[in-house]
Amino acid sequence: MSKTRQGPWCRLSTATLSLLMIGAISGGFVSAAFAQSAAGAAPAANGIGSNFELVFWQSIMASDDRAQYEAYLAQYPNGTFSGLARAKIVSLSKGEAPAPTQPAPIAVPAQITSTASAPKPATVGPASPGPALATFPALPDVPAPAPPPEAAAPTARVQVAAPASPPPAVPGAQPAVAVTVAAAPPAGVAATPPAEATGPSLLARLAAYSTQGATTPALAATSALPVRPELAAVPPIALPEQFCSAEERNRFHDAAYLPTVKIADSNNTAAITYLDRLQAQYDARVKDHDIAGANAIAKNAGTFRPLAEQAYAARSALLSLFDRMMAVPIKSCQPVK
Amino acid sequence: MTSLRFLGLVPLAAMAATPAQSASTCWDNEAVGAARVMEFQIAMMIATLRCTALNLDLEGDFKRFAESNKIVLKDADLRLKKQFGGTGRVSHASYQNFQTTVSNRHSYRDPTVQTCTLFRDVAAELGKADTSAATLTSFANALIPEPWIEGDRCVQTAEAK
Repeated sequence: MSKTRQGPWCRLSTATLSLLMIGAISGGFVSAAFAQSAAGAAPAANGIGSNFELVFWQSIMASDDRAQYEAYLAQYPNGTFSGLARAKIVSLSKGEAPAPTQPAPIAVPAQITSTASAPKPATVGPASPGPALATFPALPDVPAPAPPPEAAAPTARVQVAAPASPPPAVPGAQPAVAVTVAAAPPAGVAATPPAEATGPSLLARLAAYSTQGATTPALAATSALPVRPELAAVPPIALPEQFCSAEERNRFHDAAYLPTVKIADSNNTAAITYLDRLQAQYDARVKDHDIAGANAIAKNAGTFRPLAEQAYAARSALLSLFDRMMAVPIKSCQPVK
Repeated sequence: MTSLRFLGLVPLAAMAATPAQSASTCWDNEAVGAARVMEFQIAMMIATLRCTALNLDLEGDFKRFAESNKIVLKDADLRLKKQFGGTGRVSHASYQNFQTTVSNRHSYRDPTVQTCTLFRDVAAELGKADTSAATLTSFANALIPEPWIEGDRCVQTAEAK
C-alpha cells in the first residue's frame, strides 16, 4: 500500500506555479484557469468534474492522510470523487486504507427504444436508474494495480496563449502526419529539420525514450475510439390551430410529423449505439486493468453525453407532440352556405 | 425494470438548433501535426513538474523553451482549437478534455535522473535563441511519433490540400 508522500498542497503548488509560469510567458489563459480553480472550479459539463478537481484528486489519491481527503471534500463536497473520499476517510478512521486505484463499477448507458410509425414512451434499460443517460465514472488516473511513487503527481495541463504574432508554419518530418499549421512560414523553415540544429544524438535519445514506452499501449489503443455520430438537426413542427379533416391530419402526420420522428429516432439510435460501443471499450479497459484507457473513454463519453441527452429529449418531446397533434380539433373548412 | 417517460416539452426550435458534433471532424495533417506539437509541449511540462520531485530543476530550461517556440506553440494551439470547433463552451470543454487525456498519457513513466537529464537537454536545445520550427518539429516527431487524437484521420495525402 502506498504511503503518504508529499503533501497535496505542495504538489498542487508545484503544478500551479508552473502553470502560472507558462501563463506569464504566453498569455493569461492559464492564469485565468487557475483563478477559476482557486474560486472553486465549477464542474465541467462532461460529468467528470473540472480538470482542477481531477488534479486535486490525483494529488491526494495515494495518500493515507485523512486531512487531505477532508480538504478535498471541503473544496468539492459534491465532487466526482466525493464518495471515494468519504469512503477513504471512513476507512482511514478505522486504520485501514482502501486501495485508491480500485475502479468504480460503470453504469450501463440508457437504452431508448421507440419506433417512428408508432410513437411510444421511451424505455430505459434495466440497469439505468434515474437519468436517461448514465454517466461514465471517472477512475483514478493511475496504472493498476498499484501506482508508482510519483503516480499521484498532478496532471499537468498546458494552455498556450502566446501574444498574437504572424503564424509560422510548423513543418512535419513525417509525410503521413505532416504539420502545416499555418501559412507564412518564418525564414529558414524547411520540411526536413536541419540536422545541425537538432543534435542527432539528442534526437536519437529522445526517439529511444519514446520507443521504450513513453505512452501506455492501452492508451494508444484508445485512439481507435469509434467515430462520433453526426446528429442531424430536428426540424421544429408547428401544429395548426385546426385540421379541416381527418385526412388532412393524416397528411400532416405523414408529411411533417413522421419525417421528424425518423430524424429524432435516427439521432437517438446513433447516440445509443455510440455510447454502447464506448461502454464495451470501457469494460474491456477495466477488465484489462487499463485505468488510463478507461478514463480516456469515460472522458470521451462525458463530452458526448450532452448531445446524447439532447437526442433523447428531442425524441421524447415528439411523444407529447403526437398527443397534441391528435388533440387539434377537426373542423370543416367548407364555407357555410 | 425502470421505464422513464419524458414529461416535459422540449422546445423543438431548440432541438433544431442543436449543432452538429464538431468533434467528429476528421483530423487532417495540419491538425495531427498541431496535436503532436501540443503533446510534445505537454510532455515537456510534465517532465518539468515531475523531475522537480527528484530535485532536478528544469523550469528555467522549460521556460526558455516555451519562450523561444511560443509562436509555433501558439499556432498549434489555435489549430487545435479550430479542430475542436472554435471558442464555444462545448468546444472549449472538449479541447480541455483532449489536453487532459494527453497529459495523462505522459504521466505514467517514473522520472529518473537519466530521463530528466534528457528532457533538460532537449529543453535547453529548443530554448536556444536561434531554434526553429523545424527543430521543434524534429524533436516532436522523435518523442511523439503518433500523437493522440480524438477521432479519425482524414483520408488524404500529405500533398492534398
